[in-house]
Amino acid sequence: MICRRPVLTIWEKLYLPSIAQGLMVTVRHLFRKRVTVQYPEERWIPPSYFRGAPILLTGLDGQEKCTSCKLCQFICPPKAITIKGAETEDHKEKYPEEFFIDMGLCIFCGYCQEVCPVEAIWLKHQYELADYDRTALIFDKKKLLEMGRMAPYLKGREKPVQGGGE
Amino acid sequence: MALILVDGKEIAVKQGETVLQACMREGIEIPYFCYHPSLSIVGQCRMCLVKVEGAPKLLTACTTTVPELPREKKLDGRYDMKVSVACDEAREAQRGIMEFLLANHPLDCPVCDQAGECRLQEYSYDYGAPRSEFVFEKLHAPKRVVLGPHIIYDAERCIKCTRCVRFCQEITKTSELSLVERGADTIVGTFEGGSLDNPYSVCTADLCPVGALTYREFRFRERVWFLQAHNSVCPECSRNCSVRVDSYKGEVLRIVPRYNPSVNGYYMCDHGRLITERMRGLETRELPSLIRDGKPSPMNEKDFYARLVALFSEKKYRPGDVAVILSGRMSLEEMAAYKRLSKELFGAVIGDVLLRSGESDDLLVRDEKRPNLEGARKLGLPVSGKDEAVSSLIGGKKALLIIREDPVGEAPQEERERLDTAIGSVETVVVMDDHLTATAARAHYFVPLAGWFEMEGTTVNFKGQLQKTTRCVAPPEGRKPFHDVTAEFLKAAGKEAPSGFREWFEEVKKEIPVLGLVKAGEIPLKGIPLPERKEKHG
Repeated sequence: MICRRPVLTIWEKLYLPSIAQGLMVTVRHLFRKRVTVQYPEERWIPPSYFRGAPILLTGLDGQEKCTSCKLCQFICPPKAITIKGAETEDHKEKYPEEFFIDMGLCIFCGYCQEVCPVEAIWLKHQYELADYDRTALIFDKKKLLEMGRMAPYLKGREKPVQGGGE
Repeated sequence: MALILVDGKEIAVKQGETVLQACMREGIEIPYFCYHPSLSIVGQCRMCLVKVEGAPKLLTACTTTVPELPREKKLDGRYDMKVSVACDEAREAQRGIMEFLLANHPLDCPVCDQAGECRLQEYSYDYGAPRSEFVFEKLHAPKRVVLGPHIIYDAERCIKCTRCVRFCQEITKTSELSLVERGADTIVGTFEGGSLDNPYSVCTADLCPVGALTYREFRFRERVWFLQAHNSVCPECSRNCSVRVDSYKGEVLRIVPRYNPSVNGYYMCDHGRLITERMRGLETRELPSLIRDGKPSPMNEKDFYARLVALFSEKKYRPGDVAVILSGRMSLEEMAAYKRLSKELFGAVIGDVLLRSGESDDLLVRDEKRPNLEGARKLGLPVSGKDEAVSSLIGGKKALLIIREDPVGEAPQEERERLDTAIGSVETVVVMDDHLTATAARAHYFVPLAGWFEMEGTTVNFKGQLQKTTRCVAPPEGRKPFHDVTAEFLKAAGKEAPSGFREWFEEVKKEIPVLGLVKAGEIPLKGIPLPERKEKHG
């Protein structure tokens, strides 16, 4: 196909008006609401339905809610979860002695959250997971519980605690 | 022989056979909890209700035997009984029974060890109602009751099928268990101060169709759907119980009996199951090593075997200078390999298989505590009598080769020192075993071997039943079965040698001609009975 150059009028050939037109777009956007965030000075707080890194929740008794039923380990598509169960004197009988999630493998599908019978594992707000070392991406129980304590909007709050950059 | 019609299918019922047994034989599924082929029939759980034509109510299939009617009374002129399993009435009854059983059953499945192999769970899907109409608080009963050293009881999960009670009354005849309390409070308990500690106690956990009785050592270890099952043989006595070995991530987690009518029936002893606990904590990570001052110093495998071969060819030990202690823990292939090796090294087959004996009972446990002693006899290796034979074997020898035995570690305390010095005074001591034993600490050379569950092999039990064990878990690095070690030896000496289980099994077949047509891969799960050994005269 032959592409013919459009024949320009004199007004178009002057060139400067087009520049002014372009600048007008820029100027219009100056007064619009911003959609970008000045990361890392500013951080985006995701909405409550966001699926970030899995975290473990602590129950009212201060113990982890997890009963080590290993359904999440079973369902996990990339096999990122490894749990070692043990007996406890608590009412729940069984607790996770060790709980590892390999964040290098996790695909944030949320199956673990869906399958959990005691609602102990949730995919929450945490999205900054990069590291220089792969072994550092294997989160243990202590870290996951700590992340659970830090997670915002756990008491049924649908809105984030602080306003986002939106 | 009576003829019954079950949902349009004709089944011939043998004398004394119940409807449930006949249906199971013909592959018609009737749900049941309390019935077990080796136990008496009680009709306790009511799950197997079926409709029998002419009967006023539904009948339990497990207790209903079939009378042979006179010709003129036969139904439709042919049948002695007409049964319906899949009719609406029977299904409704089964659904009702499931609802009753689940009314007080806790929703424990996420923490219950039985989940995944639980009959209540399976039948709940197949026969249960989608939801319960029971809206009240569930009954609470004792949980985590320690019934015995290996059994924990959860009364809330119990459906009172009494399989465990009947097992203790009829099979072990120890009667530790009984139903106590009445009505809804009924639980399984021991008598005052009693404990379920018979040598077969864990079988009750196997029998339990729900998670009420659980095996303490396996409790919370792993969910059953992760386990990989392997068919193997228990090495703890000459009974060679057929077992299923469940492993996960290279660790043997549990050993359960596998039904084999010609060997062990449905059960096995607790001692055999506890192999898993004894295996844990054994030092199994050693590579081929020279032993200096009781401590192993690992060597490169190739250099190690070359050095051993050089040692034996240099010293030129005559058969009279060498004592070889073999073990009934060796598989047939390993014994055949040893015979080959012995001919190469010493020019004759020397060596004694140690007879280790212990307690026995009339149920399963045999007095010979090694799995393959009968195999040794079949291969013509001498089995030497008493435990004290060890020191007489060692006396005045220059070299000592011990395979899969630990004479020092297993000797009584007072004899241990004497044996220790006796072994210490021998010029060359080579020990081959699956872990670093007390004897190995006295050796000059230690060759690590693959353990019983880490290799393939065949073994012959006291009745002459040949069974195959499989590789349930991979052996640690540098460990091989003895037949492969032999192959290394022969290769280092520049000789041809078979390699791997299959080729060595061919060697075994040369020794036991009845096996002629059997291929290594085709040994049935129940084993092959070998004919009686002919006693040699003179």
